[in-house]
Amino acid sequence: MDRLQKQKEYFYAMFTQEEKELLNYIPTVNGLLAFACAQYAERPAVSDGTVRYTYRALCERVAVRRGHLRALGLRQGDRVAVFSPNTMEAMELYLAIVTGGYVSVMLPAALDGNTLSALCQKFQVNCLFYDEALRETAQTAPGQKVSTVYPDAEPAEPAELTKDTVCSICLTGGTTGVPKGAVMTHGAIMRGAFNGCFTPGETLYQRYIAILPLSHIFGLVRGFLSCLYTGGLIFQCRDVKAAFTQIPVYKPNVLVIVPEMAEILVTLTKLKGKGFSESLKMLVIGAAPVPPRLMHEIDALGIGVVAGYGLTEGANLTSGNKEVLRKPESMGMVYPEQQTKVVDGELRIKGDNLMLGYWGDKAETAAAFDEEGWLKTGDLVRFDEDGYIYITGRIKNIIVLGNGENISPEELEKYFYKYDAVKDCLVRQDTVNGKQVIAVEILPLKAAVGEKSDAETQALFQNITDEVNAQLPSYKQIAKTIVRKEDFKRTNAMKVARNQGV
Amino acid sequence: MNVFEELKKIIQSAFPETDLDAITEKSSLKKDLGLDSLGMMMVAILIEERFGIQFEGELQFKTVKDICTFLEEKIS
Repeated sequence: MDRLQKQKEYFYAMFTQEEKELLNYIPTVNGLLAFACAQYAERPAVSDGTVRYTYRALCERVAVRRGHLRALGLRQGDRVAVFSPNTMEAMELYLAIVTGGYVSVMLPAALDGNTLSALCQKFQVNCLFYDEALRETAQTAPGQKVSTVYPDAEPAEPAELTKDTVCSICLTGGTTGVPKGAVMTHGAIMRGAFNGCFTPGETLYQRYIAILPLSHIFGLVRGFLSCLYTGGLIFQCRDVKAAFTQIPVYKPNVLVIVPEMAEILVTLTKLKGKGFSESLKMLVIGAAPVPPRLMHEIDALGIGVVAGYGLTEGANLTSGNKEVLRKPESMGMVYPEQQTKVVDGELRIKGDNLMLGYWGDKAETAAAFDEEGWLKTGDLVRFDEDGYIYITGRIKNIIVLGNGENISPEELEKYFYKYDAVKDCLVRQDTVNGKQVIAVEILPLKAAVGEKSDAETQALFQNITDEVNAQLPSYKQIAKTIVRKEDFKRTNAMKVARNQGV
Repeated sequence: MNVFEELKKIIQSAFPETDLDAITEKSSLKKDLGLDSLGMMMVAILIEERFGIQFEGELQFKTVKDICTFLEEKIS
């Protein structure tokens, strides 16, 4: 059997015959909604824990929201941002925006006013929808601002569009403070959503909680759209803490989460007893590497695990691993229709899941692709004899934390270089109390330290770290400050080497 | 009830590898305990259950003492 055939069989073996006939690639979100409405009509689709809407009712509500968007004077291709936790309203709005032919910009609810405003300007947002709880912060954004509350409007038909119509601008980490926006077509987003349907065990009619933000590609595509694709019921999530405590109430079957959340789930189940998570059949874990130990702990609780690998720029899923216990360090097999090649050890990908480019950033877009249009992942890989892919290293200089956040060391180092006392510095991963944190190693300028004692020097640089942290969102803050007495190991060009051999 | 001792037990049940002897009231949640927002959420869930309270909104605690002070006010 050739490799491509083997890949296809690996994933399609997860479908029953009924699912193989039912679930096919649909190239637009309009098509997805039409399919789901027809196929799953009276099944429950979304809930806030009190009210539940069927697929039919959801489609009707999305049509009203489309009418509202039209009444606001928005035109095809306009960028419409949603600044909200994962409420039913945010989910309806996402569907209304993209099926209406507008371009969605889903924004994290944790954004401060300055970053919100900067993102709205960067992506030339024509209208910002905000959750009422975020009303005050939303006022800092320029332009038209509207509450996410359900509107009084006439329903509107979906727009005429194709798989090549721009669907969403998806945020992804950058080396400056403001994220880049990957421009995704309907076809690309739907390839990611279809790939997400391949899950071991039961596929159809599962219960989800929308824990991961819709502003993250994993939360949007696997956590939401794949749920709709498979007739699932998704509970809104205003607050991640509340969602975890309500697991015995909502009884989810599938949770789409990052590794650190899986650790929390395992700890809570051990403390509260198996009854806490007895509804759970499958954890879909991604956005960061999953420790093999964690996979075995989840399995010991009788819960299935599936892991995968992908990028925002590749609509979330490039490979998936349904055999995590047998091959815990592998990212699995490459999905059907995902082309791959390895150049100097680096994985490059091609397919209908790729972004068109970064919004408003020609230089970064050019740097992301090679001359033949393959996306450079920045990840070093190898394949084993069974065709399973492994990440062996990273060219791109990004720290991926267990909570799925991508941190650019260079971005943080720039803050430290503003201080004369810092001769050189290196931001890297470290551990405190067994937990992954961000650390900074500083080589002081001798003149700044003078005759200070070790304790005084440590205090001086701790102060600097505190001042830097005051300018950063909490997930980027530096937990550990290490003052070096000796120089860093350096590259041939005399730069601080990223790998200090620690 | 010694709130500080109860809090240490909660932190240990959430993160068994924690060095309990190293925790003081001055301990920074981030720098000394390595807690990020999800780690803090884990501790908050267990505190809510143990003390029968609810945290509202974003958790703004920086040190162990901050949590102790909050709890002492809530339960008094």
